[in-house]
Amino acid sequence: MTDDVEKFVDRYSLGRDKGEDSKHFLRIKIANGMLTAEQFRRIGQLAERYSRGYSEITDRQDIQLHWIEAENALEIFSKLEEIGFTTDKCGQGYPGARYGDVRNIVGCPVAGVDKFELIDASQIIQQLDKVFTGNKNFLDLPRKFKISASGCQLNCTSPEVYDLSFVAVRHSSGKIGFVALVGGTVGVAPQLARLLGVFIKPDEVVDVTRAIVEIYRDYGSRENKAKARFRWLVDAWGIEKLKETVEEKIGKSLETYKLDYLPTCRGEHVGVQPQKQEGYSYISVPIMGGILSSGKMLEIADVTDKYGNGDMRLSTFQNLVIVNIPDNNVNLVLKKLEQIGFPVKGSVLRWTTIACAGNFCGKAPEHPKKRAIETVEYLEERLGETLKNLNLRICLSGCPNGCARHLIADIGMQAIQLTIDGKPTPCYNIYVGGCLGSNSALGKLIKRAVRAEQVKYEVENLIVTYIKNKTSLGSFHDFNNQHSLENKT
Amino acid sequence: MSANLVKTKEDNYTLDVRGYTCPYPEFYTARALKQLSLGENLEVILDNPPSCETIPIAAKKQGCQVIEVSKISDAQWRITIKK
Repeated sequence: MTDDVEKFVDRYSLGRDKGEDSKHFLRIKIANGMLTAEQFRRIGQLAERYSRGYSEITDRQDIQLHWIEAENALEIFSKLEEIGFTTDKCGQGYPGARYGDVRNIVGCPVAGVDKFELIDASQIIQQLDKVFTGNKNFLDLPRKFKISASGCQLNCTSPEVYDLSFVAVRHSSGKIGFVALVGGTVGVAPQLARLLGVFIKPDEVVDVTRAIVEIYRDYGSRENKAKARFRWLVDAWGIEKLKETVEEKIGKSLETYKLDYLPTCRGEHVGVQPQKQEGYSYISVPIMGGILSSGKMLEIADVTDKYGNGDMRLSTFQNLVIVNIPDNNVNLVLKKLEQIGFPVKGSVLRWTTIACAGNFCGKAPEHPKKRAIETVEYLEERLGETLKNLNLRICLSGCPNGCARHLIADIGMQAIQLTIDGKPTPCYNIYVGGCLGSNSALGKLIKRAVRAEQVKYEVENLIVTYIKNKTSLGSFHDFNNQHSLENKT
Repeated sequence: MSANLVKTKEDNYTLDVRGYTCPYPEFYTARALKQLSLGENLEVILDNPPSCETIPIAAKKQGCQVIEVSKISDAQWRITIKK
């Protein structure tokens, strides 16, 4: 039986939801988070028609729709194809180690316009996207495979948490290239990625990536789903064997390159920033929880078209960036955004707090995004200006899978369900001190089973303790090591 | 990759949708059922667990009777439907 369905099979699928009365979600891959206002508008129209007017920007620069009915899928796929996007393959429902695909390839949302970037990696990401999208050779990996590439000095993509990341560096000779990090994951068996120890020229990235994904496909464990992610192969092989096999596959040696630092993650691109292009700015708009209604999507698209050049980006912090705004339009755009409910102001937490969609996948005992929004609003009300320049990252995950990356947050929370007084009661375990960069570390569990409604008070206590006691602008991680926060809250 | 509808014996057909994720097993099942005559049986072989829930729902919507959903190996299921 071959028919019109077949043309979509390798590029489009639906994922399974088990919460909020949603049966299926649609995760639209947007490479590097780059899209036009027209594409954004048309996705908004899809949300309006098929997803109860609701959409989410994910922390991997996708747009996710829920309440998708399977009987509408072909119509939706067809429209998405016209818009120019594909979806995750979503083979995670399969009980064995099969049908994994390369997920949306993420990058710095201000690639190409950031004044401080070492290199614009977005072209490389578009090339990689072409290599893997719908390519049958890479649709039966042991598990999903996550890639990032970025030239951003903020290290905003959090490269240590992906299977494979390329981080731009300036070689001692002055050349700009990349170091590769391999085997990161923040799921149930977390492991920060490790350096491959080589310098990779920009024109080598595609070949190196293809080689690594082939290695994973051919040698990754298929016996046990829990041990099938790439990190386990890196553990089993070690860096040296992996490097040698990559070199063998690409047919040349890569330059050994020892890096004694990594650009420290300083968070998200926030607010209005001048671009490298004289006379233009970008505006990073905080989207709390990444949640957008279809109506708001259309309004944002209109503002982008009217006052910018129609280019937009999605960030790995679930925010939205309007780029290429002539400087003399910036105030107008800010005013319009405020009028439609997206003020570009408030604490940095509005940009850096992320939460997963655990209420839809059914693994969370409550709505992590709503809890995140409530927490930030409470903190702003209580701590006001004190928060203004506090560059902290707060992440709420609905389950140990850690989709919101709570283990690399300054303050991370993971929901659990307890039975208290005979009633199911949503609670959170609280972790602190997760960080990326030179002192990469996973967060430490400091408090177990805090009732969900108490979370905001616990976070307030942590932040107040941090502000009161810190002697310098050290990270939350350093601070926790020095002051043992579990004894202070 | 393609879903094959095969006549196995009188009044019995098998549809192999292994390797397909949602929503394709449902699509192919719905299309196969349209080709069958009343009273004929369809056995769907699949390896996408969510489809074990969605195919029976879709089949019932088409007025068919779901006879059985059974696990036939660690990662494979068979759904038997009577039109």
